[in-house]
Amino acid sequence: MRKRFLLCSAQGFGNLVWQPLADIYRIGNGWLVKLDLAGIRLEDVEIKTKGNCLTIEGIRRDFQEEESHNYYAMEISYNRFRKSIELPVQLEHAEIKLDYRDGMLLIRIEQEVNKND
Amino acid sequence: MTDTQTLPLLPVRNTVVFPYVLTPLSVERLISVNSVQAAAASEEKEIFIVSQKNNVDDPTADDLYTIGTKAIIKKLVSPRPNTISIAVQGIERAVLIKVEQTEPFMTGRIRLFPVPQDTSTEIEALRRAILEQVSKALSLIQSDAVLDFSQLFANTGNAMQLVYTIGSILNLPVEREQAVLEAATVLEALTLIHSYVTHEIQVLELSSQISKKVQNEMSKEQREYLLRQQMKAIQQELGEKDPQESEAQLLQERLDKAQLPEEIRKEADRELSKLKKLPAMAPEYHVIRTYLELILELPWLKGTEDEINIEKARKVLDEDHYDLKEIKERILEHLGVLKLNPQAKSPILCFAGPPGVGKTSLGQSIARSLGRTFERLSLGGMHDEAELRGHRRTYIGAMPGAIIRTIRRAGVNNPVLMLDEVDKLGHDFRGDPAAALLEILDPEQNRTFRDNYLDLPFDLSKVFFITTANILDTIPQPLLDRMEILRLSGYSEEEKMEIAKRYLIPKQLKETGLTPEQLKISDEALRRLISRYTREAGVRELERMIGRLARKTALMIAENKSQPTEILPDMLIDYLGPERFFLEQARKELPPGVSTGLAWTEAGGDVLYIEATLLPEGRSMTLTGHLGDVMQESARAAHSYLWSNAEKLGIDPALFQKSGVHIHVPAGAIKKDGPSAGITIATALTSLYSGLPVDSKTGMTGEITLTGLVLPIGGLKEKVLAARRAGLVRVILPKANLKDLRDLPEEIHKEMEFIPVEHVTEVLATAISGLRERMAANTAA
Repeated sequence: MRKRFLLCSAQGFGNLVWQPLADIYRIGNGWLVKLDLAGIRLEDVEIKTKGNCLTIEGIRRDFQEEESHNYYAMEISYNRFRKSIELPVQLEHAEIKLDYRDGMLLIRIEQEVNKND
Repeated sequence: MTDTQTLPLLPVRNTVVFPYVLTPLSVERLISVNSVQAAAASEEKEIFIVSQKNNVDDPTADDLYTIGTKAIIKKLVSPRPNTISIAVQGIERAVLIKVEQTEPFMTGRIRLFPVPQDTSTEIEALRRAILEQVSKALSLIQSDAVLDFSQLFANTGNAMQLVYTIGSILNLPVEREQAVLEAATVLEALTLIHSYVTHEIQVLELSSQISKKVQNEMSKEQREYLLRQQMKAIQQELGEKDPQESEAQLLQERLDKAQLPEEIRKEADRELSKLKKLPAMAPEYHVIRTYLELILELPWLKGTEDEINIEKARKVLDEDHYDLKEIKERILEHLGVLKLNPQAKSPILCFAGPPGVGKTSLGQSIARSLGRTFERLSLGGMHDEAELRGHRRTYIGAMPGAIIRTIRRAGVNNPVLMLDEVDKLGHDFRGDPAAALLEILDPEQNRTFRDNYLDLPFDLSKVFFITTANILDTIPQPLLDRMEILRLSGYSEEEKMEIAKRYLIPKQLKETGLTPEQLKISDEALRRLISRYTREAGVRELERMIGRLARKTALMIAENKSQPTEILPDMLIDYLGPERFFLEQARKELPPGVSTGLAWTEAGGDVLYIEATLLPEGRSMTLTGHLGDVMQESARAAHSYLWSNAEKLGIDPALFQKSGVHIHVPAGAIKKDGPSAGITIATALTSLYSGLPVDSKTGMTGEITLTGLVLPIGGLKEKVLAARRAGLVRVILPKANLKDLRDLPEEIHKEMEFIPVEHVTEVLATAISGLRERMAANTAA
């Protein structure tokens, strides 16, 4: 009981999904969000915006390198993930571009200049 | 919704995996390991976890609940082959529609069964109540994790999340957990959890009460312990030793030095370790300490070496005691046996005889002649078995019994132990000490004598037991049977003279510091001292009288008064006052109906006159003079014998019918009993009926039967001595007692005539001279 509890508390509650780690940069007139999301396919990723909140949702599916392998240990989180990031700007009309390089998901957000003034 | 999917199925025992909850599981069954591996190999790591209804190793579809949880494997470690530890994140409830595959792992077709989401004010109320309960429970748990916990719960907005979290934390039986999982509505789930939490709080409260109580008790003891340690430290600082510790250490040292049998040593060590654990204030402490001291002081293996020198022993015995040939011979015999066989069992002797004849001092000289320690234990008046055998240690103030105490005093395990006055043991409702003596005096049993207090076997077989008694009648038969009886009879006047000269006078001289020249007592004076100032079988009173003479002389010398060179008979009156006893001088003339008997008393022998008189018009026979039953019966037997043989004895039988008879034995205040006056009564009655007087110089003793036979009696020596003192010259005695005459000093044989008889007619013919002629005439006719 005790052990179970400690694990729960470490992971937090209600996290039915896992959260990738993110780096956020300011660039020119926009933002660059870099997410540590190795092993995903772009078609499995969905970006949503609402107010000043950016939500990246998706699913990481495992793949098998060899036929009929057996796990010895597993640390990577698979299945659904979700990451919500709050930015100090309204994102409704921002332009969002996705890129994927070396296991990092790059999200470029460019804002309309007149709105930001 | 027909939204079904097929997933690897993981059956779990003793637990339920809830949605929203991250649960660690350990998987060991092959079928489960396969299931987990299959799920982990899938792209999405999804697995269906369902609990088992029955705790079986190979579950089938029937052993599973139908509602389980769809979960994702988050972490996986396989620490050993065929064992996998996983952490699964519960996602959603699901219903197992069908088990699709069982080999090499189970798969199940499932349909999601979303957790209930209903809301109402009642649910909100219940949710708050549960949160309150939980915070109460947390305050009872008092652990480091509490902080995390409360924060967690504060954040749980979703009621079902709260339900599942609490459900997984409480260590509930699987049926209850499953009930929570299966709850159809939020309300139902909350109600269940509420009741479980309430129950948990009750248990927690109870256990915290218990632990508080234990803690209280502990802290009290700890406080005492702490104070004691502090005291110890202070004492050490002051250079004082902890008395308790030093005492225990002292005992330990003594134990190490003491020679103890192995069994005893073990017991002693056990007691000592008990002692060390006790505080000195505990009452038990002193009980154990005294007990250990007793063990230490008892001579378990220590005995004196017997120095067996028969010549020396004979000298010692002769030095201390005059005569007593038989007893000295018996002691020397035993010494002879010990010389040939040092392991020989010691005899158990019983000295029986009147007071003052030297029983106790004989024991001392036996010890001296054997070179052993002498101890004395008086049994007189002892009436409780526990006095001999001790009380069990559980009683307050318990002590070892007299036997063990005496052995401790002796300090050796082979003393000469004199049990005085064994005939004066009492017994009452508390027990019979004689029964305990039976064990102590049995050589077969006393090897392992067990005192109640000591509760360890002590070997008494090396102890030389001597008991003393004045009379043997009161000693229980089984006890008497264990002892070898040696009789010490009273001393004759000559013997007393010898004893006085050899032992008593030198002893009194020594005590008063006089020289032999200063106190001389003439033989005549000594004889008068013996006969007129004392009346006893022994010499105790005589010793006192000589002591008085010695002290008076000492006073005169101290006052420089002139004093006679020798004390003569006539001077005794000045020293000791008037004569105390008058010899029961033989009555010069005896009227018909009076005869002279001889009696044995505890103080020696005595002369006893029996008087009989006819009662005209009377019918009955009266007996007076404080007579016991045996003596009265003896008188009746004598009377009946005479009646039946009246003609033969030349007596008119009509006399028996016409008149009654009264028999009296003077000195009516003294109780008399025993059968030995039988022939004396017969003689008195014959003399009465025939009108012929009995010879006044003849004494007699003997039991009579109804047919006139004369049976032997005891105490002959004392009786003869008394007869001589009284001035009788002839003693009629049963023929069977002839052997006892050997014990008498020679002078008596010279002075007195002994007539052994077998039949009462011989008695009558000897004692009544007139009758002799009449009988002769009868037979002639």
